[in-house]
Amino acid sequence: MITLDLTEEERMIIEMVRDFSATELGGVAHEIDIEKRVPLEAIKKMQDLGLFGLLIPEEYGGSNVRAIASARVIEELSRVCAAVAITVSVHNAVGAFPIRMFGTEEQKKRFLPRLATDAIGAFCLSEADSGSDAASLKLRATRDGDAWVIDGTKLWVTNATLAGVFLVFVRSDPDPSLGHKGITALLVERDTPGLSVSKLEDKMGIRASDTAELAFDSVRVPVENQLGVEGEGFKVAMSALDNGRIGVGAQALGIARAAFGEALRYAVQRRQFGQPLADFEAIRLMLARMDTDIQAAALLVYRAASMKDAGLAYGPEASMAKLYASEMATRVAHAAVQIHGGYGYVKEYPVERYYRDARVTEIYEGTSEMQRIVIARSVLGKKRSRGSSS
Amino acid sequence: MKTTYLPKLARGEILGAVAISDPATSSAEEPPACAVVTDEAIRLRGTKRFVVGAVGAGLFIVYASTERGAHDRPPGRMLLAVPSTTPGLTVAPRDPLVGVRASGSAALEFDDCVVPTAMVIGQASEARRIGKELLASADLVVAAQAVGIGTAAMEKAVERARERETDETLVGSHQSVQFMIAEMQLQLNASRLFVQRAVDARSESDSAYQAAQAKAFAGRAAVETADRAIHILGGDGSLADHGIERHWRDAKTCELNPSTRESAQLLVARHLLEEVS
Repeated sequence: MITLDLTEEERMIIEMVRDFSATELGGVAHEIDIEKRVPLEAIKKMQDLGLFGLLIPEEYGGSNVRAIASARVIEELSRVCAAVAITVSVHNAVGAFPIRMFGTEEQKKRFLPRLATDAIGAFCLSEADSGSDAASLKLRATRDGDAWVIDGTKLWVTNATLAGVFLVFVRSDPDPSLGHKGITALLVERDTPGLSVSKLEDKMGIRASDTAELAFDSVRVPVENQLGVEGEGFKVAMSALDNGRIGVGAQALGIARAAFGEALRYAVQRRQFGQPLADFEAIRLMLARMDTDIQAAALLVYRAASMKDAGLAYGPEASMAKLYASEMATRVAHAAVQIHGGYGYVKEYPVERYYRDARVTEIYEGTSEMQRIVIARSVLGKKRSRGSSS
Repeated sequence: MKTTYLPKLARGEILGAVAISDPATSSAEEPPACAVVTDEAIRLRGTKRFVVGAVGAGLFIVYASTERGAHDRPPGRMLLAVPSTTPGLTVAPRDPLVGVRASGSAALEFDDCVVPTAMVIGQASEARRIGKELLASADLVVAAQAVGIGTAAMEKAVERARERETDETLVGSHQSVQFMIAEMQLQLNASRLFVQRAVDARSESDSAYQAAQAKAFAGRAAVETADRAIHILGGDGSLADHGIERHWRDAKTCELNPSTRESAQLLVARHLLEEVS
């Protein structure tokens, strides 16, 4: 294990999260996955424990832990329930954090104390025809007096049914030649008239987190809810995603650690041909590769978080952490199912859930392909790597 | 022993080499190096293989078996410092290796070499532990070597991607090339972090696990990086002029030295199973 240089307070938070996960999530993780149920009681307790204020400064009611500690929290939650972990990570990294980064003092005072305690955050970027090519988004906002009026839909909104505050990226200038320069970020309150959840997704994994389509029908948002400069919303989105990628990397790491733990235990207990599976060389090699894969991802995730904490540019490192950890989690969960044989394919054992949960980490907050473009660009220089307008 | 050899080794006046690998098959023609211990001296017989730096070395650290039951000692392992000038010691012709061909790897043949008991390193009971430590050190060195080879291959590939146009298209503008570069960058970064972690863990109880894991990962990363680099150069990549085929061949040795990738992985697995039991 890597020994991380955590403060006493950070260690206590992680210890607390481990206890909480075991007692409050361990017993229900399986059931809420099958029922696609968001565990509202557990989420309320996590708000009371301060897990939704991890990246919010103390003066606004948060605990403001470092990125490395925040990543460890997400990792610990993901070892037990990856769905709850992404609820927290989306809130912290791409819901609350952008307000801290880009908000005016007045906006921070209005939103952050609520987000640290009882309001959940959500991030609305993707649309039906605008996924990886986020700069092509079309959700239209027109100026009417001292308000923006939004019409259209957003897709893949994590926390859609829970959120109190939505960070919504809109096309504020219809001139198509502007591309990403015609995008503005707006903070939309849940109870704003015209805002509704129009379709709940039925997902392969992380089923106990809600993902939905959001409909905007002449939703009026006061201009004081505009986050950052008009036309510079894309910068807010990209900065949020850099941060979110450390969270997804940590989530993938947690899922993989859980899958590996089950596989190792099973390999020691299960006997075939008169000996434990762990005595077969082929199984040993699988276990060694799984562990090496996990350690590589851990090094990359902790490295990206440490760079963020040191105030260094960490975008490419976050992409590397997210890319490696996500693909690693699928590989490790795949191997864990294989070691379990038939038992790995049924819901009696948790590894099939880890396998399903891992898969999305290769897709959301930037697909693996988009991460590769970001990384290649960091090596080759911008003009030489096309494929993204970001 | 320290005052005689360490200053010379430090100044590079004599080069050291470590003989750990036994022949793949213990045959009558090629038996593993075996030490017969008497009160006055030790007689070494047999063969050691793949001794990196054997050609040109002045002092060999030899990891030998001790003969079953000699002087009522249990059969075991022994570490000896053997000068290259010892009568009966022959350095075989250079191994025709796939890579690191200038490393002077060769077999050592011991024909009743007499080694004074003063040249024994450590207690007999410590030989296995010291042998494992030697292997861990070698794993760490090879892991770092793999990072260097991979970095060199990547630099050449990146230069090509940035500078060269084919059919008026910059090589680096192909998504296939970009994705290969991304993979190289990722794997080499992770390899560096693995090496750093293994160095930090040098005095920890799991240092052998850390070193083996670093080597297994970095060795594979170097092979895959050099392989991708060849593809980015295309036909040029296969020409010796560009040096990448050498990196490719050199990288492969990192998956074989000081032991195979599989050996390193089995060491990792044993550590994991010891931790769980």
